[in-house]
Amino acid sequence: MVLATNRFSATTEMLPDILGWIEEQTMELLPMSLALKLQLAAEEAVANVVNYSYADGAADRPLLLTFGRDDTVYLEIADYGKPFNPLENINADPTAALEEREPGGWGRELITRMTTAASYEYRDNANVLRLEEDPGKADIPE
Amino acid sequence: MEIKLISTDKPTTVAIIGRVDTVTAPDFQKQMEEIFARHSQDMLLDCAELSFLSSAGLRAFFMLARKAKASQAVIKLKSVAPNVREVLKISGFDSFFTIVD
Repeated sequence: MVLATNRFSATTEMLPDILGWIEEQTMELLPMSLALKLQLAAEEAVANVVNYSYADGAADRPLLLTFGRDDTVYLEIADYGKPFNPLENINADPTAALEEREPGGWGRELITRMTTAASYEYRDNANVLRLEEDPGKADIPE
Repeated sequence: MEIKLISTDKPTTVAIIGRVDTVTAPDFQKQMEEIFARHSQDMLLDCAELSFLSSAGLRAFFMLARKAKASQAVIKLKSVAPNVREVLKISGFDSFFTIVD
């Protein structure tokens, strides 16, 4: 069941609005521990879209966000840029020494480790990343 | 996101308040680099009110860790929330800092 949708322009200037809307929705739909995890995974995905999906100077840069609930709470992130699966990125090595590290490369790892499930498909000319959290798996505070 | 300089005695003590994410990370990095340049480079980062850290924030911590290593300085993180600690652990960044309660 779709619960909320929104459409943004995938630009750096819109990032505060995009992330703010995601924060609001997740806090309404999920316990705090899972809301923070989904926000983190979503931020990785959204940042990828803003930085890489559309050509420089592209006038139209749609980013469609859909929150819903089936067995899990999900967020679908869709863009119409070049086909790209963020779940296939090569990860940085978490055991590498500081001198050998690059500053980035954590997107896929954070997306997959912070969600119950993450999946990608190219559907109707859109990159669609689906992030899911199972409220039944929320951390129980001690 | 706010950075409060609590003490300039060694170690320099700084409180990080709020979220370090894609939006705030550039400002966070800039402020931390300024503090690092001006004060004792041994630092204690009080993370009790650091509510969220994304990979953009990791990037900023990474740059700080690199500078500290180059200066042979020690950076400790104090009172790190579970969600932030998890991000540091997944990325292996918990090995670059000393995390204290």
